[in-house]
Amino acid sequence: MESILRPFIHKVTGVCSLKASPIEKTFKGGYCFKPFKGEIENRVVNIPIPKTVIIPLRQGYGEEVPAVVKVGANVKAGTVLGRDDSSISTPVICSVSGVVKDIRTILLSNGETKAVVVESDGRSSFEAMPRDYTDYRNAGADQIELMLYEGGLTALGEWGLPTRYNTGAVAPNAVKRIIITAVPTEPFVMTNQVLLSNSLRRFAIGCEILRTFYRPESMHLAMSGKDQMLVQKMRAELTELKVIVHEVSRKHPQAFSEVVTETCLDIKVPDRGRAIDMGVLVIDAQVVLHVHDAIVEGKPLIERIVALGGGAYSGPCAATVRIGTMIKDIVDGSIREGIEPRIVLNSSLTGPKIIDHSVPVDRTVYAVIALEEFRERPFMHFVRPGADYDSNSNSFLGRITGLFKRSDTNLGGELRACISCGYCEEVCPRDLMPHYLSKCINADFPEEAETVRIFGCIECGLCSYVCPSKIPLMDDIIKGKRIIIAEEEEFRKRVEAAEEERKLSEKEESAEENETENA
Amino acid sequence: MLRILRILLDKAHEVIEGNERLRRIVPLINATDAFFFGPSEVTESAPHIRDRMDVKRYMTLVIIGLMPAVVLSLHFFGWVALRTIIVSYIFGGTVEVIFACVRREPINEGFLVTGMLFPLTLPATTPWWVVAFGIVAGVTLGKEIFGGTGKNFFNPALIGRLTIFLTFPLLVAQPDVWPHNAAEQGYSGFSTYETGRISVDTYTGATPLTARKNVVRGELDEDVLPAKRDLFLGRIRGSLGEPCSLALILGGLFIILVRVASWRIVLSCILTGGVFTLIMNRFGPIGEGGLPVFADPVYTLFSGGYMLGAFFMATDPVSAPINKGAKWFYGALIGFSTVIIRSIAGFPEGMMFSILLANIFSPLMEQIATGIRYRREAVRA
Repeated sequence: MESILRPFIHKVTGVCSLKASPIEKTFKGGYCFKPFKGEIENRVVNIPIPKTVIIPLRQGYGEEVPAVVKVGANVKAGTVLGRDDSSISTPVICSVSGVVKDIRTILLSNGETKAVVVESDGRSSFEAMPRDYTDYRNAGADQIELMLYEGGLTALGEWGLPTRYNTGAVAPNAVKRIIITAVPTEPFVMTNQVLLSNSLRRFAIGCEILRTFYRPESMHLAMSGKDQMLVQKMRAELTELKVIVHEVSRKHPQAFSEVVTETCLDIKVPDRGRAIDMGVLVIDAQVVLHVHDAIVEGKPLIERIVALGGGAYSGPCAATVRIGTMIKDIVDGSIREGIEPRIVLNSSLTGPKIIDHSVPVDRTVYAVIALEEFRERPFMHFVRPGADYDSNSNSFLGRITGLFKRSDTNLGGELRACISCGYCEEVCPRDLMPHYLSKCINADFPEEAETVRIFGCIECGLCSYVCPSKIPLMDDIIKGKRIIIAEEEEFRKRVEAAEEERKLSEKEESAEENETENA
Repeated sequence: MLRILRILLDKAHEVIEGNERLRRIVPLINATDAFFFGPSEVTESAPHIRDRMDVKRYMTLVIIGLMPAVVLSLHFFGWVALRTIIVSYIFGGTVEVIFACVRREPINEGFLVTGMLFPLTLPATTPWWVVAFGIVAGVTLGKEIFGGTGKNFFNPALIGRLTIFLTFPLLVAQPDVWPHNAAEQGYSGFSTYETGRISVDTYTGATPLTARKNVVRGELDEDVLPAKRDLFLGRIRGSLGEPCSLALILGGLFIILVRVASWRIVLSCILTGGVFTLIMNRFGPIGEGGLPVFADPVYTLFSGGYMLGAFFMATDPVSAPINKGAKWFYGALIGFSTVIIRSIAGFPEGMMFSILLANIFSPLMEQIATGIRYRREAVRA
């Protein structure tokens, strides 16, 4: 009986996984995307080493580092291009061998930075980092720490990997628990199948190394339970290492550090707080593979596996990409004929739009998404059954058909006033009221927005995604946060100035007193 | 065909935008254009992909949900029902367009639902000019003076109905429209009103609710009350949308399934009304006519506008609260006060008053719910 009813319940309530195993952990809110057209296929291609790479000197967590090479210098893949041991930063590694052509300022989606332009000689070899051990098991924590630092790995993760070299947001001994996420929840991102199915051993060794270095109280792997075979294999591989494997839901934003911490460890990350401050280091599964490569093979962080997904690709797949490769070298030739692509970095929900295709990818990139700019106007779109549309409501046939869903940039409707449908509140993983926050900000009531937890927002983009009135809710909330932070900053400055003045006048007074005493 | 339409629309755009005086009606042509052709806008910032649900579809789905009831009302009342609906759309639409043009805002789709719901609350005998007056008042007072769809406190259709109720009480308060003995006459749909010759006989008789009120007072015999099966299947007198509860339930379930209406409000409204009336029916006062003052649940739920109100009016997202807890209270308030008004107050029907009453309380409920939610959060943090 239950099995008959289940699909029905699923359709009505929108409960995510039909075959949800009882051990699957989940969270309130969130949204499970149906497979879109352009999800990556199960293969990894090699993007050929480009003629020119541009390597930004600020990549990932940390500040920009000064260049330590000169124009004209011969470099190898693995050579350190920039390094500053005093600031919170990680060395920047050259990803190809060749000649430094230029050091110039470029504009990335997260601001300006200096970058080293290297003309490559086409060789794929790299300079292995020196090791004084033959077996990784003999490597000491200090050695591991140094290699992670010099290999350029410590800039990965949301808040960096903490080491003694000032690379993360906290000290390395503050890391009490490590959560590794392997939860592809967003459309077009890397699947576990591609990333992990052939590298279980490497992954396990990577975990072991991290354990040797950080000595955490516990290690956890959050994995989507979709591919049970892989989960079982992973369990078998990791039980010995005492890494706890959690099966988690496939709802977005399960992989966000705030959410995954609560799901797996039941630790609530407070508003304005960071998981890392609670002693929880959240890293992506690919970082663990990089750790393995660095320590076991001595391979610095010079290339990554990047998902090339999205409806605009003719054959979406995963690709090995050298860091610093320009977007155009990655996407050119693989876009379908006759369409206008929009390139988005990392996430179709939160990532930046790339307009200038000659910008490079940095070491934090995990997806280069190409979406179709869809400006055609379908006839009577609001009464179409929509067998290939994904929707939070059940108003499209696409909810019950198994077709791959359309994935283009069309807004799908016109901007309207909020009709209080409550969809945004329903999907919010942090239990906020995005509609109300947006109204507060647009009506210029930042205090009220703060009372209703505007800083609880983790910017997952789901509210904007589901809004039928097409209100840019996430943009409004981000704007609101900025306004509040700016106000606080100003207030702080004013208080400081007042304090200064008070001190100054006190001093004068005491000086006067002294004078009178002396007199 | 499509291409011709496209060319025509482009031409219209050109003419209107080129003409200084005509530029006022740009919203109208834009709305027409957007009606036929989907939007060409693409997302500007993240998220780059969007859910395809939009307000047009949202409102269209409510209309689709109303279709069973509309078709049945056409069947029962014939062309007069169609006339009422058309009049409502024409006059209400004009008001909406005028306001949009004056404000230079896009025309909002919310009107599509109002224009359909409003006639369904009216008796078929309502003269067309009353219908026109009602919808103009409803759209203006219920919605536009607050700033349009999304900013209104009340359900515009009910404000329209209330206006008529207060200005032309005799026309609306006694919707004795369903031919009294039609079943015996072999009445079928498009006959009586079409000919324009309505015999006095067919006019007499009251709606189940009025009838019951009279029976309770001891003014009428119990045998004037309709059978329960008739209540459910729709062989009763009432407004255009009221006769068949089954059609309304089917349509209502549809809009709940597509997640346009909130099942919480509907369930809470029906449960509260049902349970409360059941208790009062068993243990409550008995009228002079020997019948309990409070009707039994089946009679309460399937007569009058209860189903129409619960499924289609109370679930209007704009005037209902968003918070889930508040939704339960909102539905409960509607169910509770409907039963009270129907049994104790002088009016035979109370759905309209209850929903408007709950509309008034909806922002308050929302505020209390928000307060509870964030105070609790603050304590926990």
